[in-house]
Amino acid sequence: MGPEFNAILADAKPRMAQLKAMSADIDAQIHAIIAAATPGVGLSDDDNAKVQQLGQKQRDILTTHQKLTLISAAALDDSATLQNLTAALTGAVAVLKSEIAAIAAVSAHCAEIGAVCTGLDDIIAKLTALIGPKTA
Amino acid sequence: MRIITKLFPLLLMAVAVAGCTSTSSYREPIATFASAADKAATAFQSLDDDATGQLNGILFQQAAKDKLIQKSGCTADSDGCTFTLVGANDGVPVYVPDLMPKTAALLNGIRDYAEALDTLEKADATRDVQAATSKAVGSAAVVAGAVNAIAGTALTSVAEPVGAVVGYGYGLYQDNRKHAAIVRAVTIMDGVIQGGRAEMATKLKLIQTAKLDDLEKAVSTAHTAFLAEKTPDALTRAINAAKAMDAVIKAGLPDLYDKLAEAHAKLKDAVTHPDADPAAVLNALSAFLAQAQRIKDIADKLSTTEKRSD
Repeated sequence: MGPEFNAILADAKPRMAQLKAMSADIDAQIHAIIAAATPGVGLSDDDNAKVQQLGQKQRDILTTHQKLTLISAAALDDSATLQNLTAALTGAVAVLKSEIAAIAAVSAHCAEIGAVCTGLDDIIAKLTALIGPKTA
Repeated sequence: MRIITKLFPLLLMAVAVAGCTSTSSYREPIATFASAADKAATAFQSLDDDATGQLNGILFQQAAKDKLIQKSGCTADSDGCTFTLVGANDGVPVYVPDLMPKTAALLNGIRDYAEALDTLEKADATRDVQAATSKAVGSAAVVAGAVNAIAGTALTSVAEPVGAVVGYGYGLYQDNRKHAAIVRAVTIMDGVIQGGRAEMATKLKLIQTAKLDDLEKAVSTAHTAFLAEKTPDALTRAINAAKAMDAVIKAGLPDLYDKLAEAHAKLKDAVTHPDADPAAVLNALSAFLAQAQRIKDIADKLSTTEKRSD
């Protein structure tokens, strides 16, 4: 395990942790919606649509996390496709860095104008910024 | 002369008994280690295939979304032929043949070594002993080559020619010489195996995380599907998805190699110190065998489920 692999992994780790935190955020939102629903009745159509939307976003985030994880594993294994995969990992980390910076900028902007940047819509906006526009 | 004639059968018996004691005490540990190493290698191969499929699935979706791929190589004088992505992921292969070939080679090497050790322990002819010893030490060299962070001393030991390890003559002292060969092979391999612990823990953790991401997505899909449908079938699918994820979380995959290394260290104790505590040796080997079996069972089950859902 050479120093370059350690550097790659060290670079990828915080991004992966950030993605997992996003996923946990979504879980919390889904739990909150379910907790507010009436037992025996279930979710309203509107709440159900929100849950489906959040679930899809969570799965998109997990796919990105999984890709980083698998590429890290391949890079550590020094496999035949190492060169390409290492480049892919570096590229993926660079993209994530800029996307996460964009999220930070959105948060800073919210604070600047005194807007409330929490709640469902804000999380969806952050996730859209993180993984790009996808099917809602 | 008459005294010698009378004592000779007794001498023969004493040598035979000593020989039996020296090998039978670790026959079971070696056989157990060989069985566990086989299960561990098989389980990892299955998980590696699964992880390769996961990455290829993600790459395939990316290529299908981008709608652009380019040839890489694919001429008569090139080294190979594949397709790569275009754009933000430029140069990334559209598919990979094997995600972790070195790790698979490492565990297969340990399995081959353990098999050879088992054969060596049971061998009763000089030729078999030499062949098994050669195979055991050869496997150690393969394993050493597959571990990136290998201990230097172990590599030096592996590099020694097999001829220096064994110099057998079939005869009354064969068991003692066989024992010496086993000690030599186990000692060499132990340095190699212990040297790979940190690296293997990281790799196995990554493989487990990738699998859990997959299962987490399945749980999320099944959960939201039930909230939308509220049917018994949807509930059953949600419960099954949770059970599959629960099994992988609790399987202890990242600890598998540590268990293997601990078991091998105890095996080394058993063959190098005849007075080693047999219970401690068997406990370590049983723990490795149980974990390898558990992970193999889970890998088999996941593989069967995936084939069924294809």
